[in-house]
Amino acid sequence: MNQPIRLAEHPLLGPFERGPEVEFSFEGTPVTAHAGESLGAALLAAGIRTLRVSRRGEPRGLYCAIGQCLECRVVVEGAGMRRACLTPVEAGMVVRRHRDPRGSRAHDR
Amino acid sequence: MTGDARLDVDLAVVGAGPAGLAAATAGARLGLTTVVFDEGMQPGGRLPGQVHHGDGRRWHSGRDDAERLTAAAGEAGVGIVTGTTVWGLEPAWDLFLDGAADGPRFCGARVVVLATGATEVPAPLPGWTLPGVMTPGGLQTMVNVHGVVPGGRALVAGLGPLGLEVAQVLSATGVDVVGVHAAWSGALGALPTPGGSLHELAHTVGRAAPTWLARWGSAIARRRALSTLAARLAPCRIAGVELRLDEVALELRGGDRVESAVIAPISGDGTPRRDAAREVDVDVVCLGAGLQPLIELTGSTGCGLIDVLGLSGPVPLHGDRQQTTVPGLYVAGGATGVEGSAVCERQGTVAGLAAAAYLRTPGATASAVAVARDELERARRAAPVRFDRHVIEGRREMQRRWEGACPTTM
Repeated sequence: MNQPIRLAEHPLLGPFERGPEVEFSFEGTPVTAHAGESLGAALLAAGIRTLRVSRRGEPRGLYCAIGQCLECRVVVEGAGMRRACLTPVEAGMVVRRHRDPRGSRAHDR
Repeated sequence: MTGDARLDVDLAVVGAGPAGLAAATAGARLGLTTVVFDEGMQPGGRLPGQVHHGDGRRWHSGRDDAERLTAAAGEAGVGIVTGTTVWGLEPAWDLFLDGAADGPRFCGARVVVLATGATEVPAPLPGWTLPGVMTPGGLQTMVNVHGVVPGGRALVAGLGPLGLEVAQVLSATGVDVVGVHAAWSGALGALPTPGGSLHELAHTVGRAAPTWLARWGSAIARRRALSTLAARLAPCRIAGVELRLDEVALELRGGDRVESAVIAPISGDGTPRRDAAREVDVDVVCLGAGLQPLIELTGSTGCGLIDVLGLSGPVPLHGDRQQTTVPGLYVAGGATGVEGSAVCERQGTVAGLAAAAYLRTPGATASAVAVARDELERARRAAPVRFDRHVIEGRREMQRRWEGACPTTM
């Protein structure tokens, strides 16, 4: 399996302009990202694909990346449950996987 | 635009894609106080993720269109509020908002344009919830907006213009695209493509001239007579990607991420040959069955909804001024039927002008609306990609149904 990569330059569109590097934590592990990119993109670039755990214990991650499917929800300290695809990275953010209580009926499977 | 929990404007627009930005700009230029809300991080809707051939061989980014529309809205005095979800809407008009801690919570408006866009139609194969399985739109966002390439070996399952575009972009970034396949949904005639079948797909994609899609489309179209005999279709390899209409994706497998896909040939009777299935290693799967209008917020107002062939799903019943059955509620863009961004933009202009006319704004004349409507029709006929080949007839049918339902409404 190949690790995800950040392109310096898009083969069709040219170079990417990114914000300054910042650090945040995910499940207690430091992750380096660029300010302003989405949490979803930053975590994917760091090779982290599982963003939440369903009530059946299944791993879930970025699916639509445009705010519709809610599969990328994470818990951001001080902000509650957020969609990783729509939440800009900020330095020092403390982020955890969202975990539905096993067997709960509050959310989907 | 922060500080106050409540905001009051003449025109509130939901969705900062091409339709919403154009609607807001049209209203604001006529002097309406105007605000646009979008839950995305940047204005532009899906535009920044789009890559296509412009004139000749040069690649064109939707990012440029997003910047142009955003700049025009700003110059017209539109307030653009991103990172904010409109979660509720009550007539005459109150918008309920969820966004930044210091952002507004309510917005009062005299007229509303909903430009909520479209959403992906799922193609739920076994294993489709595994991390690493993403929609075409999601992959466009990751690769084209964020520059994050999610893996090294990709399968594209589900046939449609967006999936084909993603296949080519992934391939260009160095990803090994192992194949483009239909996603098996139980019957060949019901293969999830934007138009519903391989035959429809050939028409849809075949209209994509002058982009590279035309080459794919014509390659499929040449074989369209065989679309119910997919077993006979030869693989074709275009732009470095293998298009396999003779095989379908049956299942996705993996532990904490997608690791493989099960692919089977189609037999003479149109069913997959599970005995001849093969498993291919992949770490990315692009899975989607096209787009459908996003109408929850519109429907919550009690406005009439209708399903007309050609518009990709149920949409608000609306007239040719983009008006709905609820006074003061206008709609534009993908939320009214899935079409390309140039069409959405012009629908937005019509909606913005019509909304201004509803408020009896000087300058929002019937002739101004008519001019904008003509431009919309021209853009529709010139559209390089049609997501549904019946869209022109669908629009005509919508107008007929509107006149039948609301003969005197403006």
